Amino acid sequence: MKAMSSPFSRLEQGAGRIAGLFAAVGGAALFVLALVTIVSVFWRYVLRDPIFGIEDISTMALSVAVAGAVAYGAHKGAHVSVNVIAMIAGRRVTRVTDAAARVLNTGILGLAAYALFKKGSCGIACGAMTSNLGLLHQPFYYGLVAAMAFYALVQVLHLCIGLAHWAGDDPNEIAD
Amino acid sequence: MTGTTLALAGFALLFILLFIRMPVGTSMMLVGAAGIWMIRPQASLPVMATEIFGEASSYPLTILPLFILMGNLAGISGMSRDLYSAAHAWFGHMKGGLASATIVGCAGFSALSGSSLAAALTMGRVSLPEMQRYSYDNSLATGAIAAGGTLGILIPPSAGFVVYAILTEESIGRLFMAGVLPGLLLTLSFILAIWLVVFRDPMKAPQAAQAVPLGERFSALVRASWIVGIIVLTIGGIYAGVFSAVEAAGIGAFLAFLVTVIRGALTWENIKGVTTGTLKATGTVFLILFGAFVFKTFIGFTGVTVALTAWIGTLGLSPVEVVLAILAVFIVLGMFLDGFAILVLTVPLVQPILQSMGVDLIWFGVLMVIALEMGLISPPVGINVFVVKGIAEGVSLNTIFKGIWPFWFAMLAVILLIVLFPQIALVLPTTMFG
Repeated sequence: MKAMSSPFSRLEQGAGRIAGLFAAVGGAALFVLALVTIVSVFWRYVLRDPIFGIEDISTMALSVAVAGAVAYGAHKGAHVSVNVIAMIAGRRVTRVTDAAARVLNTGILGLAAYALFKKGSCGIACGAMTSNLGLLHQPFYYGLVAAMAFYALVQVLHLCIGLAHWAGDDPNEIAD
Repeated sequence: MTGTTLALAGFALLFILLFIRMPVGTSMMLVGAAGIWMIRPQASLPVMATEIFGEASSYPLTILPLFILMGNLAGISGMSRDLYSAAHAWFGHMKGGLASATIVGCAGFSALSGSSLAAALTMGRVSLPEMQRYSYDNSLATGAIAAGGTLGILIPPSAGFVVYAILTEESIGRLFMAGVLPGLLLTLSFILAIWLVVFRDPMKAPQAAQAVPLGERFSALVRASWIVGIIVLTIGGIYAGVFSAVEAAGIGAFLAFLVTVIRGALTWENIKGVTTGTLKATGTVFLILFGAFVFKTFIGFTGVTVALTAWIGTLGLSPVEVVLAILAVFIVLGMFLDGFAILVLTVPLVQPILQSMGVDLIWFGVLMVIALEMGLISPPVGINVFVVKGIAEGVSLNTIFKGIWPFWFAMLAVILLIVLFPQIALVLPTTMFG
């Protein structure tokens, strides 16, 4: 990433730290997921004693890993875009389309975070729990809310950086 | 506005959003949520929340991060290098043998990793310097890597099959089994394509490596036995019905982890690299899945698939003709769109049509994945070509694209063979699942 003005670089650093936190939590969930799967296989096939409800732990660990993955991927530019426009248009066009795409992206991510929060906050009253162990879905919904909200904030930051670099190259522009 | 008009407007808007480089997942989510809001305003937010949480906590989808983790561990443990070394020892002395060894290496690595990009990147780093050392033509060398990498989404475990299975509600295990023989056939057809290229123009591969004594070949094979063992255990376990695809993914990841520990490759840097690499790939796929399921619900609400099915019925086309037409569209779309994007965009549309015509969705899934593989190496946006370009400094994109055509036609030939002989794809799942 090219050098950018100092308030943005501080914000980028801050976003990087938060993304690192998401990666740490997501990574831990990933290893829990792998461990739970192995334990489940061992108990089922070697000890012939399947563990009741272990799928519930797997699915909730997956949701934590996915939340971490989506948020971390957002900061690392991992979310796939189709870069055809760069073949036919220059920066004068892409700076406008990129800004529009980031505004729309922020909007839908914010809406998704709100939708998840609204549904998740209903909690036990809506019967939102796993089928075997009765684990409440609520905290896992909130994990996804945090991921979507973080992605939206990263988009706002990239929008501001893009606007600040309107006349030059955007350090976060999609490249081949 | 009728449902069909709304669906068409939705697709048009979606293509505009994709064109302005909005991420695939959020583009679909936006169009899907807006479309649902226009049909049933109260359903829009609950559908979005339900679909996102539903996919993020779907038990069958636990397979994705586990297989991605397994592939990444195979990379850092050196197992992928062992695989290439074994292929090199057995094929390197033949004409074009190093390119063939690359294909075999990619096929083997694909059996540990569901990602085409990972296969192209991992094998490319090992094999390209070797091919350049023996003065292979750059177009053949890079074309072989880019094409070999595509095997990643056909040979199980395949992320493409997992997503297709989730979208169509088909069995992941059945699809994995269906990909085995076509994957091997495609591997052989790539080797044949290399042989034909070198036969026509021997200067494409002017030198061959020294023949390796039989003893050394077997010791190379023994060194590669870790990776072969994991492949046999996971894929064999699924085939034999010993464990499910999710359990196979867990076992595979655990074994790859054990090998990494045994080989002393489990450094803090490697742990960080593997974890973040797995998270990035997982995040990419899941965001697309979130959007795909919101969009799929919107498409379902419009009823456009019913109208489309009725329209196809009036054309009087046979199922095979319809399948060929759909595949032709995929091949064209593959020139501009990411494979996963095509998959999640089109499956909700074509599935009802194919089901109404009695087309086997397992067979179609295999054909579709090969068509998507063609997109991975088709100009102008074949993503594997850009991956290879990243590791082949000084080789122009044009040179790489020139080198992919023999492989592109090999894929087309395999598609036609599987259309003519569906049993190539169906024999294994039928034997296993009945």
